[in-house]
Amino acid sequence: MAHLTGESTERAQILIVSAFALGVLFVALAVILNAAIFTENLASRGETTGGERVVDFRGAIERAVGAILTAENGNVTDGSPSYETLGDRIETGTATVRQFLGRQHARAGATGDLSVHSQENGSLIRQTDSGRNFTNASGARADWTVAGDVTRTRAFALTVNRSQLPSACTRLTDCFVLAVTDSGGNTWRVSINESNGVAVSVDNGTGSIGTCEPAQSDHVGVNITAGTVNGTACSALNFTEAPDGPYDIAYRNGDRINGTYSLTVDNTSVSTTAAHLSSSTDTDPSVTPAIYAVTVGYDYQTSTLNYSSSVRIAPGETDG
Amino acid sequence: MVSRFDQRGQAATLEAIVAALILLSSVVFALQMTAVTPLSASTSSQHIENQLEASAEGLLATAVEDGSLKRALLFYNNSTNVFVGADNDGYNARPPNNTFGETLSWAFDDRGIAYNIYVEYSGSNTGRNLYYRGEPSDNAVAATTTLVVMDETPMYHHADDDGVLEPRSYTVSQALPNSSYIPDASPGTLYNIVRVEVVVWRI
Repeated sequence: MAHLTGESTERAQILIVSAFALGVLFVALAVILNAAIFTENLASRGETTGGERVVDFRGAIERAVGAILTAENGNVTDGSPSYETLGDRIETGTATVRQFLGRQHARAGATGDLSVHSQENGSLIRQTDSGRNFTNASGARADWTVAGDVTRTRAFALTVNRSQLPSACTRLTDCFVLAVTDSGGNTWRVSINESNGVAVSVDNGTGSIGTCEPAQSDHVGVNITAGTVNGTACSALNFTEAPDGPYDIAYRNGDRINGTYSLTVDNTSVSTTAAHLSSSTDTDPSVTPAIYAVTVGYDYQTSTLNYSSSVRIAPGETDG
Repeated sequence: MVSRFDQRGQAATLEAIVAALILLSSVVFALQMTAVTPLSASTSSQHIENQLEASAEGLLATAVEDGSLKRALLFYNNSTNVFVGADNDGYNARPPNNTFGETLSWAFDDRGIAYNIYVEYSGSNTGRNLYYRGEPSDNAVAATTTLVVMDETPMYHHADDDGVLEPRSYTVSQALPNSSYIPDASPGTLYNIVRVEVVVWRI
């Protein structure tokens, strides 16, 4: 070790300089890698503008205003309020929705605003006495037109008492039939009778008759516009196959079924064109003024997003 | 002569050691960069957070759609002012004994995932815990939904043993205004709007 030459001293300097260079290189590589990881991190975060919050906002508006619409229409116990009164009640409810949703989104750094732009008037027809049959208000007619000259129908639901439903009749003939018929004679019919449960048969005018799985409970809910029997979807019961409006909704053999029903139609003069319905909710079946649909405009702003649109709210209306 | 070379030798050795240290530490530094990437499996992985958020959102959407969330929120004892079977801080040992609780249990309990459920509403008293499991970790994610409660919405209880809650004979507007739970926030048929937040994290 004592006889090291001058060359070896120079080598040690090269060694440290090259180590230093390598160190810088590694750190530089690490920085580049770090940038790549950061990109990956951002990329896996999903979209960053918060567009899904607008969808949330819209969904909350639809649910809240839809529930208010249904409740205010159904809450008509004080005779026949005008459409303006109904509209005012809905606007009062909507103002609470606006206040609450606005406050909630303000906490997340966003402003959300909404207001009722327009309303479509209609009528709510319903029978609430579950023991009554489906005859007209006087009880004299089993075959009668529930609502004529209707373009749109929503939230059409029946609740049928199984124990009072006859089995000794032929479906779509002398059992209960609900018929939707347009002026051209096109018809869509639903028949309900007892056959190993509450059986729903549908004749959509194509010649073949669709049936739903018979429901077994004592009170069976048949939702015409949603296409469900006791909450279970039935593909045969498809209200979009009914004729396009204007059409008439009629009951045949209404004395062969008992229960309740409720439907909202967009015809505002049902009460005067059909004398089969009572204008007071004390007598079944009744017809009262109802708001068919409202259009609510909404506006949503964050630092990265500004979105304005409107949504038409008609709870229980069949899509399409 | 000898002493001069000796001093050079020491310097060379020291320089070599320093060089080795620089190399080694830069390699260690570079390796550390790759130890945890966003895609590494861990409790804080961004992908896991995204997944948890998506499943919490899906769960809430289903519970709103089938009505089980509303039933669980109104499964409330208005005389003792607690959710049925819970204490003042909501449920904590196990999720509520109803369809919503069952859904939560199926979705999260077996997978080592903890969750809290907060309920907020307009009015004087602002919120409640429906279910509280503890302080969430730094990597917790949240999903929220809103629910409309109308004056005529019934309260719920277990009338039979099918596990699904049945409506009580009295409504929200009859039971709740004098309790410390959801107040009546609107003059019309609307009762209140409830915001439900689920906070989910891996344990």
